[in-house]
Amino acid sequence: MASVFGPTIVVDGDLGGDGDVVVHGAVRGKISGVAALTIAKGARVEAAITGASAHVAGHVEGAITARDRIELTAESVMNGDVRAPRILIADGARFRGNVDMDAPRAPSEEAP
Amino acid sequence: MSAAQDIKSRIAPELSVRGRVTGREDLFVAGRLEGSVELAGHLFVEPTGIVEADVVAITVSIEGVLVGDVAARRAIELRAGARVVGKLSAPRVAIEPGAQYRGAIEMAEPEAATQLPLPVEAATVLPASAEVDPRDDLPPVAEGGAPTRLPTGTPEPLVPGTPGAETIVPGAPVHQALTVIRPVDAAALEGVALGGPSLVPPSMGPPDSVLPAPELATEPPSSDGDAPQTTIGAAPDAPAAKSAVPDSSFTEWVSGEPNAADGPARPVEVAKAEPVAAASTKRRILVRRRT
Repeated sequence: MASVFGPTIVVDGDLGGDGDVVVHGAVRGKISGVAALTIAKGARVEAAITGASAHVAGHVEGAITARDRIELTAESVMNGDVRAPRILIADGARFRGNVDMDAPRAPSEEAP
Repeated sequence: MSAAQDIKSRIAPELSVRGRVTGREDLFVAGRLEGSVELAGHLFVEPTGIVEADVVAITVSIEGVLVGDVAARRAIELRAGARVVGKLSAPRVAIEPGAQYRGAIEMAEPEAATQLPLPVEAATVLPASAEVDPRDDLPPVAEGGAPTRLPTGTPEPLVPGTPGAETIVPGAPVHQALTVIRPVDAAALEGVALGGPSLVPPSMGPPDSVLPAPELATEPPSSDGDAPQTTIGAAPDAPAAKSAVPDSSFTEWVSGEPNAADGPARPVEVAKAEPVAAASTKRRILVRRRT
């Protein structure tokens, strides 16, 4: 079962470990190693993010590196670099940063 | 995804959070949480949860491990299986049998604290079920036809096993076997000396103050490093505590508790915590068991 951080939850610090994580609130710090990260609409994450996959519908300040994929939905606001073998950016997403889909590099640097 | 009302904040067992967590909602911790927690809501530490943090919340319910100081505006509940080290501050503190705790408890509800000792009449106006919050409001278990209530007059000596005094049903769900400590009860027991490390004199235990009197009142139940006040909930796995309780119904009840979860899952560092000075117990602790 996924870890969930509700809309009023603010984490100043690090999230680490396995498992899926859904953030509705705010995280400032670092998110590392999670399996599937969902940054829900309304959420705000200021963190360096690494993991298997990331689904962004909220606001992210920071770089995301994913082993598998990164998806930026139409509601998302993303300021930071994204790196993953597969990156989806929906029409309407606000994104500023570098995109790197160089698949071979991601896993090697991503290995926990 | 925007159904904010349905969201249940939870740190799953695989996740660890390090830092400061704040919020205005309930939080369940089944994983690991280090740092500090400030919630305008309820914190639940699930059996797999490990919290090393100072906690401020409305209510705190612990079934897992918590190391740190806990301050709750309403209540703290140490359930069976809990391993807790730290100071507890709340108007109401409940420690279930099977919970293991070391530290100091401060029940600092201004109203109750300043009015101690209340006249008996005032205390009897507050039956146990009148002011509990919904989370605690459990249907009474009809056992011996005597639901738990506050003493109405002269407190009778507690005879463990007496119908009406022993209100715990072996094998009952643990939430029905709460050992509740609250200032109201303290008020009801006027005349009982405050402040001593020894708990309730056997002759003063009310019918519902139910940890069997010998276990409460005699010498510290365990002679090893555990501080005496930490055995409020009569940690059933402590041999000394068991042997100190001659009453068969209690031991039977203790052994009937689902404490199998205690054994393998208990982190050693908490179980083997070093002793705490008995003087750190801020108040005499009264124990009452609800059904």
